[in-house]
Amino acid sequence: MGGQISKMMGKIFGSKEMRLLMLGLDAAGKTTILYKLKLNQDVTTIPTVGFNVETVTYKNVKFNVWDRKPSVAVWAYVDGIGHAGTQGLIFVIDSNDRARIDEARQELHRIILDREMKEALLLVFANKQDIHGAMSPQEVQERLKLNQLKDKIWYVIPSCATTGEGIFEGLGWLSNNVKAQPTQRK
Amino acid sequence: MSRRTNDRAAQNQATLKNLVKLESNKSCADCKRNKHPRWASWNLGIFVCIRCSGIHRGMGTHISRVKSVDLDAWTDEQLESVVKWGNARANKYWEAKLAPGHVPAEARIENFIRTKYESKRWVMDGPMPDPSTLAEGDDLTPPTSMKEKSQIQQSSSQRTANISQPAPPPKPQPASFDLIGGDELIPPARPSTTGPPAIVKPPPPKQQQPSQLLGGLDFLGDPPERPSSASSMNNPGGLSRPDLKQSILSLYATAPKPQTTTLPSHDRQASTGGSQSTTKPSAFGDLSDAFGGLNFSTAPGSSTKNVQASPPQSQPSLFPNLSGPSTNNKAMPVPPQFTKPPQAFNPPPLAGGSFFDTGPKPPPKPAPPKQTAPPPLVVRKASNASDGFGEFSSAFNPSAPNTAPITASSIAASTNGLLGFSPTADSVKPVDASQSTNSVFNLSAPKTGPASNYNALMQTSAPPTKTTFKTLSSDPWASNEWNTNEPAVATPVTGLSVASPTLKSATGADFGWGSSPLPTSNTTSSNAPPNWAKSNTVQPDWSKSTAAPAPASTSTQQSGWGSVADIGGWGDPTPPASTTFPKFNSTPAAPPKITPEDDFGDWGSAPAPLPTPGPAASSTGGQAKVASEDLWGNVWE
Repeated sequence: MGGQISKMMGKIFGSKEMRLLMLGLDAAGKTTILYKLKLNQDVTTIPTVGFNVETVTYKNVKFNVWDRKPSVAVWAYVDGIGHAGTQGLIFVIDSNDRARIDEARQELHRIILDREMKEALLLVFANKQDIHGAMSPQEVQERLKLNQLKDKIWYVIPSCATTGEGIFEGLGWLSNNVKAQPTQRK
Repeated sequence: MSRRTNDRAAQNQATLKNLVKLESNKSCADCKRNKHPRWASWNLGIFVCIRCSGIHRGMGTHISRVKSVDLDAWTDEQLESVVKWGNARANKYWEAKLAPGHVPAEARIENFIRTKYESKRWVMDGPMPDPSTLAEGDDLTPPTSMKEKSQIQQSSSQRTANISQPAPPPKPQPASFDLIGGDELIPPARPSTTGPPAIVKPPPPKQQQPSQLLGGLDFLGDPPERPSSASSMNNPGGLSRPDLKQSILSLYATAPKPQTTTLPSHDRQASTGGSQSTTKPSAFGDLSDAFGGLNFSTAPGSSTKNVQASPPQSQPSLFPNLSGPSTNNKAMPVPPQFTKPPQAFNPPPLAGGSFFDTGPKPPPKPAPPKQTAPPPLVVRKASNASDGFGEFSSAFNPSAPNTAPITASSIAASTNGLLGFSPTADSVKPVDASQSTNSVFNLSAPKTGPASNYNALMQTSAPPTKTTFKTLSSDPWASNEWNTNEPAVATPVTGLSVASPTLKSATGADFGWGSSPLPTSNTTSSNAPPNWAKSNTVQPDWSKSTAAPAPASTSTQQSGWGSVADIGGWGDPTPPASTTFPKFNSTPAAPPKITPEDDFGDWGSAPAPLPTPGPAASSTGGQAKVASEDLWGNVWE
């Protein structure tokens, strides 16, 4: 109840905060997406060791985005950081990397089933759509077996981090659906 | 299963760690600058630095799949690819049409990488070969060269140490000599590699021949003998050779040590020496890391001598270091050139520092005596004498008779003053270098020519030494190396020139170095320094210089690469120059494989660097590296 009130207040005053966690295999484009959101420019990244955290405001929604690679070694550590309050999980897929789509699926299912992600919305960026021959969003959805996810609100959106295509639409979807989130459930 | 995987992963991790320790994998496969890459593109089988890895990731996984050496778990398949390829072989394939020592411009790395892997512009013709057919050891491979260099440095350092002792075990190694033709030449012995240098891989001992070297020096004296230069010239044809030569040279450098140089021919030699020295610098640059450490010791003594004059030029410094003390003496005469030399190195300290030092020590005087430190090779010194390089040589020599380490000595020899000093054997080597340079240039002088050959030979012989390189870093050797390199380059150069920009630039640079020395006169010297500095500093400079080439010519000495300068540098400074030029021209003709574009573009753009003076010793360090890189590049080509 309190949450609802606060949300209403947020609506009234035009500010809403959302805590997002962005994950994906290495080189999927997470950091590029993050900085595209933050700086609206295409940055040349280097492998992210650890994580990047940035606050991005879009449509009156303040997104607190954690960008990290969910490597096994780091995952435990992540728990330490605590992503318990995460309202949205952005999972970035390299649509051109068919060889690792299965690895990505395993990773995604492992994460999404984690209890800290129970309430999180799942947004999948089928990234790198600019590369010829990249998997379509539908193919990504199938390969990730998203249909197997029960009680999850998910959405796959094609994107291209370097041009920014699809990125803001994704944030818009999150922002629109966050209120639909069954907070009451808790 | 998880356990099994973990064990496997741990095993792979260990294998990876060992792979990264391979010489060819010790620097980034793309930028060639960053050492100890911790990232890898497993499908390409290369190790790259984190910055380049970011660019690789940006190209997409269909081109490159990046993994961390330290942070990721590797599968057997991935590991196998990296084992199969490695930086050396991979670059043989991906940079088959690039000049061997090419180092992309810092600012254009992304463009370079994309051109290399995405556009496959420099890829070897035909289908992707089995990596095992791409011999890692080939000279061609840049990586290797890098390795060699490093080795050399190591060896040099070791040698230096050795040097101090007079080691003269000279064993002449005939084989190597063949090329040279000059038997006399026997390379200075590398004495040693003897040593110790742990690092160095194998320094082949063989080649020691210090005394013989000395004998060689004599030869030097006789210009005629050196026919080799001529031969060296011829050699150019065999570009492939250059690498070897270089490596060899490096070896020599280390080895030689002592010697006094003295060769009659010095003048020319000197000039040549100069050129050589120039090259070395470049080498140094590469080495620089190593050197940095080294150095300086420089002692004092060294040198100073020389003349100094010059200021700053980085080169000088290099040489100075190299030469160290001994040379100094010789140098005298030529003041102009670099002063730096002064530092003498103690062998132990290595020259590396010296290079940087460059500094100018101005004062140097040329004391003839230089010899003081024979061991030290150093040579650098003075140079004065003749051309800058000569100085170098001289430096080496210093010692005289000692063994010479040769390289230095050779250098010294080149320089006139040195020559006088030089005594003997050592001198010979130096000479070679100088000669070689000459030959390259064509300058002419037959005398020199031979020398060059010698150098070449030496280098060849050196091979074993290669490892030593690192050691070399010590001054003397280093200098030697440089010399050698240059020469080598030179020969190749012609070919190179063809190649063009890069090469040219390189050459130009070399020339510049050489030239500066030549000047013998003050002016020149002064000029020279700048050049060096420039060259050292940044590649761009080189490129500029190269680019500029033409212009330079006008002024003879200075100009850079120009022709003039170069020429002068070579030894013959002046007059000869003109003659030499022709060759250059010819060279140009040959076209280099490399495309200027991207990377090269820089070069082209580069204007002549000359102007800049580059004195600052400290700065030189950095510069030196850069330059060296460039130089190497050229060399390779």
